[in-house]
Amino acid sequence: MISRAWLDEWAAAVARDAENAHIGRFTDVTVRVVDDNGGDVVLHYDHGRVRVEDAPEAEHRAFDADLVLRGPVSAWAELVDPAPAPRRHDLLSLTKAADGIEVVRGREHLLRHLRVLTRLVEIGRSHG
Amino acid sequence: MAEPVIEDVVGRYLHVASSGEQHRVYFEEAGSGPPLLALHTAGSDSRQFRHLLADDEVTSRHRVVAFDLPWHGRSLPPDRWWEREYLLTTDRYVAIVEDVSDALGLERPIVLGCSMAGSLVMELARRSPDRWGGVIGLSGGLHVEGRFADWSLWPDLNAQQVVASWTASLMSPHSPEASRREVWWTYSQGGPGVYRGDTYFYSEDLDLRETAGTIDTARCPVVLLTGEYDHACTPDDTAAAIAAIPGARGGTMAGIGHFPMAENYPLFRTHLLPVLEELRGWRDDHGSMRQP
Repeated sequence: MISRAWLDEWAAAVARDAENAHIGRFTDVTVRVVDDNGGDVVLHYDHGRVRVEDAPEAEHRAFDADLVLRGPVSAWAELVDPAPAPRRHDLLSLTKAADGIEVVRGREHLLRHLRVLTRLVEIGRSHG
Repeated sequence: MAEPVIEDVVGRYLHVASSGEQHRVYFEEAGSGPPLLALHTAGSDSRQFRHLLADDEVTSRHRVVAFDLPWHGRSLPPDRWWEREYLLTTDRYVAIVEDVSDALGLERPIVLGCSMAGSLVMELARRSPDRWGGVIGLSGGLHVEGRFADWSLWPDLNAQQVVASWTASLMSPHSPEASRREVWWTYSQGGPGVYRGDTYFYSEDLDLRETAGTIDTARCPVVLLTGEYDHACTPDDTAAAIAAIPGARGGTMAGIGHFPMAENYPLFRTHLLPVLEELRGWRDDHGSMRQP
Protein backbone atom coordinates (compact mmCIF):
# COMPACT_ATOMS: atom_id res chain seq x y z
CA MET A 1 0.00 0.00 0.00
CA ILE A 2 1.02 3.56 -0.48
CA SER A 3 2.37 4.62 2.89
CA ARG A 4 0.27 6.44 5.43
CA ALA A 5 2.81 9.27 5.42
CA TRP A 6 2.37 9.60 1.66
CA LEU A 7 -1.42 9.63 2.03
CA ASP A 8 -1.27 12.33 4.70
CA GLU A 9 0.94 14.50 2.49
CA TRP A 10 -1.38 13.87 -0.43
CA ALA A 11 -4.39 14.91 1.67
CA ALA A 12 -2.60 18.16 2.47
CA ALA A 13 -1.90 18.70 -1.23
CA VAL A 14 -5.58 18.07 -1.98
CA ALA A 15 -6.55 20.77 0.52
CA ARG A 16 -4.21 23.23 -1.22
CA ASP A 17 -5.38 22.47 -4.76
CA ALA A 18 -7.31 25.29 -6.40
CA GLU A 19 -9.20 23.11 -8.85
CA ASN A 20 -10.23 20.65 -6.20
CA ALA A 21 -11.51 23.51 -4.07
CA HIS A 22 -14.15 24.52 -6.57
CA ILE A 23 -15.08 21.20 -8.19
CA GLY A 24 -15.34 19.37 -4.87
CA ARG A 25 -17.36 21.81 -2.88
CA PHE A 26 -20.59 19.81 -3.26
CA THR A 27 -19.03 16.34 -2.96
CA ASP A 28 -19.24 14.03 0.03
CA VAL A 29 -18.03 10.47 -0.57
CA THR A 30 -16.07 7.75 1.20
CA VAL A 31 -13.62 5.53 -0.64
CA ARG A 32 -12.07 2.41 0.84
CA VAL A 33 -8.73 1.45 -0.67
CA VAL A 34 -7.58 -2.13 -0.20
CA ASP A 35 -4.39 -3.82 -1.36
CA ASP A 36 -3.03 -7.37 -1.37
CA ASN A 37 -0.52 -6.69 1.37
CA GLY A 38 -2.88 -5.91 4.23
CA GLY A 39 -3.31 -2.25 3.41
CA ASP A 40 -6.86 -1.07 4.04
CA VAL A 41 -7.73 2.61 4.50
CA VAL A 42 -10.81 4.77 4.14
CA LEU A 43 -10.61 8.16 2.47
CA HIS A 44 -13.33 10.50 3.66
CA TYR A 45 -13.81 13.22 1.07
CA ASP A 46 -15.82 16.03 2.56
CA HIS A 47 -16.50 19.08 0.40
CA GLY A 48 -12.96 19.59 -0.80
CA ARG A 49 -10.92 17.98 1.97
CA VAL A 50 -9.75 14.43 2.54
CA ARG A 51 -9.32 12.65 5.83
CA VAL A 52 -7.44 9.33 5.87
CA GLU A 53 -8.32 6.63 8.40
CA ASP A 54 -7.45 2.98 8.79
CA ALA A 55 -10.44 0.88 7.79
CA PRO A 56 -12.15 -0.69 10.80
CA GLU A 57 -12.05 -4.46 11.21
CA ALA A 58 -14.93 -6.13 9.41
CA GLU A 59 -16.72 -7.10 12.60
CA HIS A 60 -16.67 -3.48 13.75
CA ARG A 61 -17.75 -2.07 10.42
CA ALA A 62 -21.30 -0.72 10.72
CA PHE A 63 -21.38 0.00 7.00
CA ASP A 64 -18.88 -0.04 4.19
CA ALA A 65 -17.58 2.94 2.24
CA ASP A 66 -19.55 4.24 -0.73
CA LEU A 67 -16.86 3.04 -3.09
CA VAL A 68 -14.53 0.11 -2.41
CA LEU A 69 -11.49 -0.38 -4.64
CA ARG A 70 -9.08 -3.29 -4.38
CA GLY A 71 -5.87 -4.00 -6.20
CA PRO A 72 -2.33 -5.24 -5.83
CA VAL A 73 0.26 -2.88 -4.38
CA SER A 74 1.74 -2.59 -7.85
CA ALA A 75 -1.52 -1.23 -9.30
CA TRP A 76 -1.78 1.49 -6.65
CA ALA A 77 1.79 2.48 -7.45
CA GLU A 78 0.88 2.66 -11.14
CA LEU A 79 -2.10 4.86 -10.35
CA VAL A 80 0.14 7.63 -9.05
CA ASP A 81 3.09 7.00 -11.32
CA PRO A 82 3.95 10.25 -13.17
CA ALA A 83 4.95 8.22 -16.24
CA PRO A 84 2.33 5.50 -16.41
CA ALA A 85 2.20 2.81 -19.07
CA PRO A 86 -0.34 3.19 -21.88
CA ARG A 87 -3.80 1.92 -20.99
CA ARG A 88 -2.75 1.67 -17.35
CA HIS A 89 -2.55 5.42 -16.99
CA ASP A 90 -5.49 6.32 -14.77
CA LEU A 91 -8.21 4.92 -12.57
CA LEU A 92 -10.64 3.92 -15.31
CA SER A 93 -7.99 2.29 -17.46
CA LEU A 94 -6.67 0.34 -14.48
CA THR A 95 -10.17 -0.98 -13.75
CA LYS A 96 -10.01 -2.62 -17.19
CA ALA A 97 -6.40 -3.82 -17.00
CA ALA A 98 -4.99 -7.17 -15.91
CA ASP A 99 -3.62 -6.99 -12.36
CA GLY A 100 -5.29 -3.61 -12.11
CA ILE A 101 -7.88 -2.17 -9.75
CA GLU A 102 -11.20 -3.87 -9.06
CA VAL A 103 -14.36 -1.96 -8.22
CA VAL A 104 -15.61 -4.15 -5.39
CA ARG A 105 -18.55 -1.97 -4.49
CA GLY A 106 -20.15 1.31 -5.49
CA ARG A 107 -19.57 1.61 -9.21
CA GLU A 108 -22.34 4.21 -9.26
CA HIS A 109 -20.28 6.32 -6.84
CA LEU A 110 -17.21 5.93 -9.03
CA LEU A 111 -19.20 7.34 -11.93
CA ARG A 112 -21.06 10.01 -9.97
CA HIS A 113 -17.87 11.39 -8.45
CA LEU A 114 -15.58 10.72 -11.38
CA ARG A 115 -14.59 14.34 -11.92
CA VAL A 116 -13.39 14.78 -8.37
CA LEU A 117 -11.83 11.31 -8.15
CA THR A 118 -9.91 11.99 -11.34
CA ARG A 119 -8.55 15.21 -9.86
CA LEU A 120 -7.54 13.39 -6.67
CA VAL A 121 -5.51 10.93 -8.73
CA GLU A 122 -3.90 13.77 -10.68
CA ILE A 123 -2.88 15.46 -7.44
CA GLY A 124 -1.42 12.18 -6.26
CA ARG A 125 0.51 11.82 -9.46
CA SER A 126 1.96 15.32 -9.31
CA HIS A 127 2.64 14.78 -5.62
CA GLY A 128 4.96 11.92 -6.65
CA MET B 1 -0.52 44.66 -27.47
CA ALA B 2 -0.89 41.70 -29.80
CA GLU B 3 -2.64 42.22 -33.11
CA PRO B 4 -6.08 40.64 -33.32
CA VAL B 5 -6.23 37.43 -35.32
CA ILE B 6 -9.18 36.33 -37.41
CA GLU B 7 -8.92 32.75 -38.54
CA ASP B 8 -9.71 31.84 -42.14
CA VAL B 9 -12.21 29.18 -41.10
CA VAL B 10 -15.81 29.96 -42.06
CA GLY B 11 -18.93 28.51 -40.43
CA ARG B 12 -22.25 28.17 -42.24
CA TYR B 13 -25.53 26.25 -42.07
CA LEU B 14 -26.68 23.68 -44.59
CA HIS B 15 -30.35 22.68 -44.90
CA VAL B 16 -30.39 19.07 -46.00
CA ALA B 17 -32.81 16.13 -45.97
CA SER B 18 -31.56 12.80 -44.67
CA SER B 19 -33.33 9.60 -43.60
CA GLY B 20 -36.69 11.25 -44.24
CA GLU B 21 -36.06 14.25 -42.03
CA GLN B 22 -35.03 17.82 -42.59
CA HIS B 23 -31.85 18.96 -40.86
CA ARG B 24 -30.10 22.26 -40.38
CA VAL B 25 -26.47 21.24 -40.22
CA TYR B 26 -23.64 23.46 -39.07
CA PHE B 27 -20.36 23.08 -40.87
CA GLU B 28 -17.01 24.83 -40.96
CA GLU B 29 -14.57 24.91 -43.80
CA ALA B 30 -11.21 26.33 -44.80
CA GLY B 31 -8.83 25.96 -47.71
CA SER B 32 -9.13 24.79 -51.27
CA GLY B 33 -8.20 21.70 -53.20
CA PRO B 34 -9.27 18.08 -52.98
CA PRO B 35 -11.93 17.92 -50.26
CA LEU B 36 -11.10 16.48 -46.85
CA LEU B 37 -14.24 15.71 -44.86
CA ALA B 38 -13.68 15.48 -41.09
CA LEU B 39 -16.10 13.60 -38.83
CA HIS B 40 -16.14 14.15 -35.07
CA THR B 41 -16.36 11.63 -32.23
CA ALA B 42 -19.37 10.39 -30.25
CA GLY B 43 -20.99 13.07 -28.12
CA SER B 44 -18.80 15.88 -29.37
CA ASP B 45 -18.76 18.22 -32.36
CA SER B 46 -16.63 19.71 -35.12
CA ARG B 47 -14.65 21.91 -32.75
CA GLN B 48 -12.38 18.90 -32.40
CA PHE B 49 -10.99 19.80 -35.83
CA ARG B 50 -10.19 23.44 -35.15
CA HIS B 51 -6.45 22.82 -35.34
CA LEU B 52 -6.79 20.92 -38.63
CA LEU B 53 -8.90 23.76 -40.06
CA ALA B 54 -6.18 26.24 -39.11
CA ASP B 55 -3.25 24.21 -40.42
CA ASP B 56 -1.92 26.04 -43.51
CA GLU B 57 -0.03 22.99 -44.64
CA VAL B 58 -3.36 21.17 -44.93
CA THR B 59 -5.64 23.99 -46.07
CA SER B 60 -3.19 25.04 -48.79
CA ARG B 61 -3.77 21.61 -50.33
CA HIS B 62 -7.31 20.68 -49.29
CA ARG B 63 -10.77 22.11 -48.86
CA VAL B 64 -11.28 20.96 -45.28
CA VAL B 65 -14.89 20.55 -44.17
CA ALA B 66 -16.07 19.54 -40.70
CA PHE B 67 -19.73 19.39 -39.72
CA ASP B 68 -21.73 18.82 -36.56
CA LEU B 69 -23.99 15.80 -36.77
CA PRO B 70 -27.64 16.55 -36.03
CA TRP B 71 -28.10 16.62 -32.21
CA HIS B 72 -24.48 17.81 -31.80
CA GLY B 73 -22.81 21.18 -31.45
CA ARG B 74 -24.67 23.82 -33.44
CA SER B 75 -26.76 21.33 -35.43
CA LEU B 76 -30.08 21.14 -33.63
CA PRO B 77 -32.01 17.89 -33.39
CA PRO B 78 -34.76 17.31 -35.97
CA ASP B 79 -38.39 18.23 -35.32
CA ARG B 80 -40.25 16.40 -32.52
CA TRP B 81 -36.91 15.31 -31.05
CA TRP B 82 -38.37 15.39 -27.56
CA GLU B 83 -40.70 12.49 -28.33
CA ARG B 84 -37.97 9.95 -29.00
CA GLU B 85 -34.86 8.32 -27.61
CA TYR B 86 -31.73 9.28 -29.53
CA LEU B 87 -29.97 6.19 -30.91
CA LEU B 88 -27.64 6.55 -33.87
CA THR B 89 -27.88 3.66 -36.32
CA THR B 90 -25.45 2.68 -39.03
CA ASP B 91 -27.93 3.43 -41.80
CA ARG B 92 -28.75 6.90 -40.49
CA TYR B 93 -25.10 7.71 -39.88
CA VAL B 94 -24.00 6.63 -43.35
CA ALA B 95 -26.91 8.53 -44.86
CA ILE B 96 -26.20 11.86 -43.17
CA VAL B 97 -22.52 11.75 -44.13
CA GLU B 98 -23.33 10.91 -47.74
CA ASP B 99 -26.13 13.50 -47.91
CA VAL B 100 -24.03 16.31 -46.42
CA SER B 101 -21.13 15.42 -48.71
CA ASP B 102 -23.41 15.50 -51.76
CA ALA B 103 -25.18 18.69 -50.69
CA LEU B 104 -21.84 20.47 -50.31
CA GLY B 105 -20.73 19.24 -53.70
CA LEU B 106 -17.72 17.37 -52.38
CA GLU B 107 -16.23 15.28 -55.17
CA ARG B 108 -14.64 12.11 -53.88
CA PRO B 109 -13.60 13.59 -50.56
CA ILE B 110 -10.98 11.95 -48.43
CA VAL B 111 -12.84 11.15 -45.20
CA LEU B 112 -11.14 11.51 -41.83
CA GLY B 113 -13.15 10.15 -38.90
CA CYS B 114 -12.37 9.58 -35.25
CA SER B 115 -13.73 7.10 -32.72
CA MET B 116 -17.25 6.16 -33.85
CA ALA B 117 -16.43 7.95 -37.09
CA GLY B 118 -13.13 6.06 -37.24
CA SER B 119 -15.21 2.90 -37.39
CA LEU B 120 -17.79 4.46 -39.68
CA VAL B 121 -15.27 5.24 -42.41
CA MET B 122 -14.74 1.52 -42.93
CA GLU B 123 -18.45 1.09 -43.48
CA LEU B 124 -18.48 4.05 -45.87
CA ALA B 125 -15.72 2.39 -47.88
CA ARG B 126 -17.54 -0.93 -47.81
CA ARG B 127 -20.87 0.43 -49.01
CA SER B 128 -19.75 2.96 -51.63
CA PRO B 129 -16.02 2.74 -52.32
CA ASP B 130 -16.16 4.89 -55.45
CA ARG B 131 -17.79 7.76 -53.62
CA TRP B 132 -14.65 8.49 -51.56
CA GLY B 133 -11.07 9.40 -52.27
CA GLY B 134 -9.85 7.22 -49.42
CA VAL B 135 -10.70 6.99 -45.74
CA ILE B 136 -8.64 7.58 -42.63
CA GLY B 137 -10.00 6.04 -39.45
CA LEU B 138 -8.72 7.12 -36.04
CA SER B 139 -9.55 5.05 -32.95
CA GLY B 140 -11.78 2.81 -35.03
CA GLY B 141 -12.37 -0.93 -34.91
CA LEU B 142 -14.55 -3.63 -36.38
CA HIS B 143 -16.73 -3.80 -33.27
CA VAL B 144 -15.74 -1.77 -30.23
CA GLU B 145 -17.15 -3.36 -27.09
CA GLY B 146 -18.36 -1.76 -23.91
CA ARG B 147 -18.96 1.90 -24.66
CA PHE B 148 -22.79 1.83 -24.71
CA ALA B 149 -24.27 2.28 -21.23
CA ASP B 150 -27.28 3.88 -19.60
CA TRP B 151 -25.64 5.72 -16.71
CA SER B 152 -25.43 9.06 -18.49
CA LEU B 153 -29.23 9.25 -18.20
CA TRP B 154 -29.41 8.47 -14.50
CA PRO B 155 -31.24 11.31 -12.76
CA ASP B 156 -28.77 11.32 -9.86
CA LEU B 157 -25.68 11.65 -12.04
CA ASN B 158 -24.41 14.88 -13.58
CA ALA B 159 -23.70 13.69 -17.11
CA GLN B 160 -22.31 17.09 -18.06
CA GLN B 161 -19.33 16.34 -15.84
CA VAL B 162 -19.23 12.56 -15.87
CA VAL B 163 -19.35 11.99 -19.65
CA ALA B 164 -16.54 14.51 -20.00
CA SER B 165 -14.41 12.84 -17.33
CA TRP B 166 -15.26 9.36 -18.64
CA THR B 167 -14.02 10.18 -22.12
CA ALA B 168 -11.05 12.22 -20.86
CA SER B 169 -9.68 8.98 -19.45
CA LEU B 170 -8.99 7.87 -23.01
CA MET B 171 -6.38 10.55 -23.62
CA SER B 172 -2.65 10.31 -23.15
CA PRO B 173 -1.47 11.97 -19.93
CA HIS B 174 1.41 13.29 -22.03
CA SER B 175 -0.81 15.30 -24.37
CA PRO B 176 -0.78 19.03 -23.62
CA GLU B 177 -2.98 19.80 -20.63
CA ALA B 178 -4.73 22.74 -22.30
CA SER B 179 -5.77 20.49 -25.19
CA ARG B 180 -6.95 17.71 -22.90
CA ARG B 181 -8.99 20.21 -20.93
CA GLU B 182 -10.50 21.52 -24.15
CA VAL B 183 -11.65 18.02 -25.08
CA TRP B 184 -13.20 17.72 -21.61
CA TRP B 185 -14.93 21.08 -22.06
CA THR B 186 -16.48 20.23 -25.42
CA TYR B 187 -17.68 16.91 -24.05
CA SER B 188 -19.35 18.70 -21.17
CA GLN B 189 -21.63 20.43 -23.67
CA GLY B 190 -23.40 17.49 -25.27
CA GLY B 191 -27.16 17.06 -24.97
CA PRO B 192 -28.72 14.49 -22.61
CA GLY B 193 -28.33 10.98 -23.98
CA VAL B 194 -26.42 12.04 -27.09
CA TYR B 195 -23.10 10.45 -26.12
CA ARG B 196 -25.03 7.31 -25.16
CA GLY B 197 -26.96 7.35 -28.44
CA ASP B 198 -23.77 7.68 -30.44
CA THR B 199 -22.13 4.81 -28.63
CA TYR B 200 -25.14 2.70 -29.61
CA PHE B 201 -23.73 2.90 -33.12
CA TYR B 202 -20.11 2.46 -32.04
CA SER B 203 -20.56 -0.48 -29.66
CA GLU B 204 -23.88 -2.06 -30.64
CA ASP B 205 -25.18 -1.45 -34.15
CA LEU B 206 -22.00 -1.49 -36.22
CA ASP B 207 -20.33 -4.85 -36.55
CA LEU B 208 -17.83 -5.28 -39.35
CA ARG B 209 -16.36 -8.56 -38.16
CA GLU B 210 -18.09 -10.56 -40.89
CA THR B 211 -17.98 -7.97 -43.66
CA ALA B 212 -14.66 -6.13 -43.38
CA GLY B 213 -13.00 -8.58 -45.74
CA THR B 214 -15.22 -7.36 -48.58
CA ILE B 215 -13.88 -3.79 -48.43
CA ASP B 216 -12.11 -3.10 -51.70
CA THR B 217 -9.08 -0.95 -50.92
CA ALA B 218 -8.14 -0.86 -54.60
CA ARG B 219 -11.22 1.33 -55.07
CA CYS B 220 -11.01 3.15 -51.75
CA PRO B 221 -7.79 3.09 -49.73
CA VAL B 222 -8.21 2.52 -46.00
CA VAL B 223 -5.76 3.84 -43.40
CA LEU B 224 -6.40 3.14 -39.70
CA LEU B 225 -4.46 4.77 -36.88
CA THR B 226 -4.98 4.50 -33.14
CA GLY B 227 -3.23 6.11 -30.18
CA GLU B 228 -1.39 3.82 -27.81
CA TYR B 229 -3.16 5.22 -24.73
CA ASP B 230 -6.63 4.46 -26.11
CA HIS B 231 -8.36 1.90 -23.90
CA ALA B 232 -11.76 2.14 -25.66
CA CYS B 233 -10.56 1.14 -29.11
CA THR B 234 -7.17 -0.32 -28.35
CA PRO B 235 -4.26 -0.61 -30.78
CA ASP B 236 -5.04 -4.34 -30.88
CA ASP B 237 -8.61 -3.58 -31.97
CA THR B 238 -7.35 -1.47 -34.83
CA ALA B 239 -4.68 -4.02 -35.72
CA ALA B 240 -7.46 -6.59 -36.03
CA ALA B 241 -9.32 -4.30 -38.41
CA ILE B 242 -6.20 -3.76 -40.52
CA ALA B 243 -5.67 -7.51 -40.67
CA ALA B 244 -9.28 -8.10 -41.70
CA ILE B 245 -9.32 -5.60 -44.57
CA PRO B 246 -7.11 -6.66 -47.49
CA GLY B 247 -4.81 -3.79 -48.36
CA ALA B 248 -5.62 -1.66 -45.32
CA ARG B 249 -2.69 0.06 -43.66
CA GLY B 250 -1.91 1.97 -40.51
CA GLY B 251 -0.89 1.21 -36.97
CA THR B 252 -0.29 2.71 -33.58
CA MET B 253 0.52 6.33 -32.79
CA ALA B 254 2.90 6.56 -29.84
CA GLY B 255 2.16 9.06 -27.11
CA ILE B 256 -1.43 9.77 -28.16
CA GLY B 257 -4.84 8.66 -26.94
CA HIS B 258 -8.35 8.42 -28.35
CA PHE B 259 -8.70 12.01 -29.67
CA PRO B 260 -5.53 12.58 -31.74
CA MET B 261 -6.63 15.67 -33.70
CA ALA B 262 -7.87 17.41 -30.57
CA GLU B 263 -5.65 16.23 -27.72
CA ASN B 264 -2.29 16.64 -29.46
CA TYR B 265 -2.56 18.08 -32.95
CA PRO B 266 1.15 18.88 -33.37
CA LEU B 267 2.03 15.23 -32.80
CA PHE B 268 -0.94 13.88 -34.73
CA ARG B 269 -0.16 15.89 -37.85
CA THR B 270 3.19 14.10 -38.15
CA HIS B 271 1.11 10.98 -38.83
CA LEU B 272 -1.59 12.70 -40.86
CA LEU B 273 0.42 14.72 -43.37
CA PRO B 274 2.19 11.77 -45.03
CA VAL B 275 -1.11 9.89 -45.28
CA LEU B 276 -2.83 12.86 -46.89
CA GLU B 277 -0.01 13.23 -49.39
CA GLU B 278 -0.31 9.58 -50.30
CA LEU B 279 -4.11 9.72 -50.65
CA ARG B 280 -3.91 12.87 -52.76
CA GLY B 281 -1.61 11.01 -55.11
CA TRP B 282 -3.90 8.00 -55.20
CA ARG B 283 -6.90 10.21 -55.88
CA ASP B 284 -5.07 11.97 -58.71
CA ASP B 285 -4.20 8.62 -60.27
CA HIS B 286 -7.64 7.07 -59.88
CA GLY B 287 -9.93 9.97 -60.72
CA SER B 288 -11.09 12.81 -58.59
CA MET B 289 -14.68 12.59 -59.81
CA ARG B 290 -17.18 10.26 -58.20
CA GLN B 291 -17.51 7.11 -60.25
CA PRO B 292 -20.97 6.37 -61.75
